[in-house]
Parts: sequence; structure tokens; C-alpha cells
Amino acid sequence: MTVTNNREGLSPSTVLVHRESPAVEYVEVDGETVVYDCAGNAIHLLDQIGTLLWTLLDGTASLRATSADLAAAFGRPPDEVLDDVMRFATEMEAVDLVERVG
Amino acid sequence: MSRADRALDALETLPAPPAPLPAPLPAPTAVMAGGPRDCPTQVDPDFFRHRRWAWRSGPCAAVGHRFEITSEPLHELRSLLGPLVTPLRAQNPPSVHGHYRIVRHRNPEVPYALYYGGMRLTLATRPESLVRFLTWHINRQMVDKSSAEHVVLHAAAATRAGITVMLPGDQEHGKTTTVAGLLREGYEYVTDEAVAIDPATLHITPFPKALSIDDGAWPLFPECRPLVGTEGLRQWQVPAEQLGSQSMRGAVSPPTVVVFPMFVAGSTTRCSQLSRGEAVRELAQGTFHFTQRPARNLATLVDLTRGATVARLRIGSLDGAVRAIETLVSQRLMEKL
Repeated sequence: MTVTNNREGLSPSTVLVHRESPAVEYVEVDGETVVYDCAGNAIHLLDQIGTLLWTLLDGTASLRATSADLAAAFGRPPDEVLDDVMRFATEMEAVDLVERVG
Repeated sequence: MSRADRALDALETLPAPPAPLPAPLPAPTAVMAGGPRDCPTQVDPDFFRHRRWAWRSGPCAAVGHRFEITSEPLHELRSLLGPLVTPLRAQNPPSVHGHYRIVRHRNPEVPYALYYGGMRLTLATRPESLVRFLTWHINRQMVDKSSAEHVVLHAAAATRAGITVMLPGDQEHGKTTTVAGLLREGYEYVTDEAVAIDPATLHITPFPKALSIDDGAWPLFPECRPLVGTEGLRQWQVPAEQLGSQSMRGAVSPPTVVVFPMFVAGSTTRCSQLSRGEAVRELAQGTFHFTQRPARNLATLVDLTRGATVARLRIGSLDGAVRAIETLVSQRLMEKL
């Protein structure tokens, strides 16, 4: 898997993956996820939906494809879901927990 | 609205802001640096060879920190050192890794020097300052030397009828005061400063140091006032026995009641829930040397919270705090029965 340091704005075609080097450590408990960022020496807490999205940022699908899957699963308008996914992904990239693939 | 719809709406919720990890225990400030010639900063063993030691602690253990203290004739130190070392005296004397030595030197204005091995740790103008620094150093060494084998949390703990209560929190959150209140109600003492958890079993190795009760809490514990040498003190060093309790010696059951105390002067005492995810995050923030083994530490904290009742406790009064904790403990006891 090739990752890039391109920091221009995310697009729906972007593929994201959890940062590998230095790795982020995370654990799930009762549907929430605690993420430790070794590089930033900070701890983040993701709620249940954040946890779902976090597991989907696995480097295999674009943000658009991920949104479409979620929209189908939850019966919601794809554009609405895409907005939310983009916001979450932007936040994750801003705190350096994910990196881009390709 | 279905559960799935509510969940999707929650996409609006952004992740919680990152939280900084804990700083090491702050060193006390009322000590004196610098150095007269008769107490150099580095010494060889000959420096101690011909001195007349009047007091010896015997082997002591603070989890992974095994030490002994010896002192030159300094009567004014006796009443301060006794409460400090008595709870830590090893029943099965372990091999000692480090020696503290308290030395008198010729300068009457700075009469006390504290050495650890061959290194001078501090000079002090008053015995209270020296003992305060020694207490800090023992705590710090305990944390540093125990973190490889244990997950060490900044927390107090006490146990009763097989239910262990852990009170994680930073300085000034009310850990010591609250655990002292529990001891007075018949709980057995584990620690007021650092909880050392075995990652494999979640059992706690006790660190039953004397409780360091700050001056703000003294009116709550008049029975703990030292008999002598109170002038200039900012903390009382109080053995658990003075509160009618006993110190735990062997392994302690994993904590099943985890309460995050927060003393707020003038407030009403109130217990509130928090999620296990929040609990793990807060425990991680209070784990010493968390960054050295983050994966192990996170996994241990998750295991710990899965079996525990977790709650926040805003403390306005000690009696209210003890009652709130007793309620949680009673619930666990009922479940156990």
C-alpha cells in the first residue's frame, strides 16, 4: 500500500487508512474506541458512529464508496451521509490519525 | 426514529478532543540546591564508611522499588521517618536495590543532605523539607521501577469484603481525602498515590505508603495530627492504622468500583455515570509511562473497565462522597451474593 503526504483538501475519491508509522494504537470498548496517537502523544475517544467509520477507514475504499455503503445500510440519502463522512475524515486527517492511499 | 436513524444522526458528533498524557509526579519545591564542600553531589563509598549511623529502616519495598534508609544521629527526623517507612517495611525482606542516606553536615543553616547511592539528591534547611523530598523520590522510583511489569495508575485504592475501590485522579482531585474517609469506615488500605496493576491478572500490588494529607483536609481528620513537629508542615504523613484501618500486604482483587473523584468546594456531592470508553481514556491519561507500552496499557485498561462499575464523583463533602461510594460498593456486593 502506498501512502502520500498530500495535504490538499480531501475529495470523495480519497482513500484513507489508519496511520501506520508511527502506528496508532486503538481499542474498542462498548462500541466506543479509544485511539492513542504515539506521534502526537494524545488520546482520542470516538463515539459509536465514529467507531464504525474508523473501522471503515481501512485503505480499501474511497470515502464516496464508504458513504454509499453506509447510506444503503441505514436507508439515508447518499449526499447527506457523504457530508458527514467527509467531516469525520477531515477531522481524522487533521489530527494525523489517518493517511491517504495512492 | 429507528435506532439506526438515531445512530446516523450521531454522525454529527465529532471525536472528543485529544487529551494530554500525565506529567510525572512534580518534585516538591521546598528544598535547597547548590552545595557546600562537605556534601558533594557525587561521592564514592568511602564517603559513608566512617560515619556513625544511628537509625536504619531495614529493607523496604514500594512495589518494584526496594530500598533502605539510614540516618546519622538526627533526633528531629525520627518522628517524621517512622510513619514514612513503617508501612513499607518488607515482611519477607527482598534484596535491596538502593540506599538512601541522610547525612548531617557542618553548615548549620543547611544541616541536612539526602543521598541515594552515591548521588546527593538534595540539601534541606528543615527536616520536613528533607522528608517531603524523600517521600517524593520514593514515589517516583516506585513508578519508574514498577512500570515495566505493572500498569501504574495515578490513583488511590481501598478494599472491603473483596470489593476493591479505585479512585483515579490528578493532584488535588481528592483521592487521599476520600480514601482516608473510606479507611475510617472500615476499608483496608491499598494506596493513596499509585495503583500497580498486573496486566495478566488485574490484581493490585499494594503500595500502602503513609497517607499524605494536605493542610486543607486537616480539619476533617483531627485524630491524625502529629504529636510533635507540626510547625512548617504542609502535609501530614499518616499511617493507615491511625485511621483505624489496616494496610493490605498481599495481592489485592482487581478493582470493580472505579470512581473518578473531583473535589469542587461548595458543591453538592453527586455521582454520575460515564461510558467505559470515557473511563478508559481517563485511565490512560492517568497511567504513568503510558507511552512506553501503549498497546499493553490500553488492553489492560479495557479489561479492567469491562468488569467494573465506573462513575464520576463530584465531591462537595467527605461524608457525602463516602456514602456515594458505599452505595456503589453495596450494589456490587449484592451482585456478588
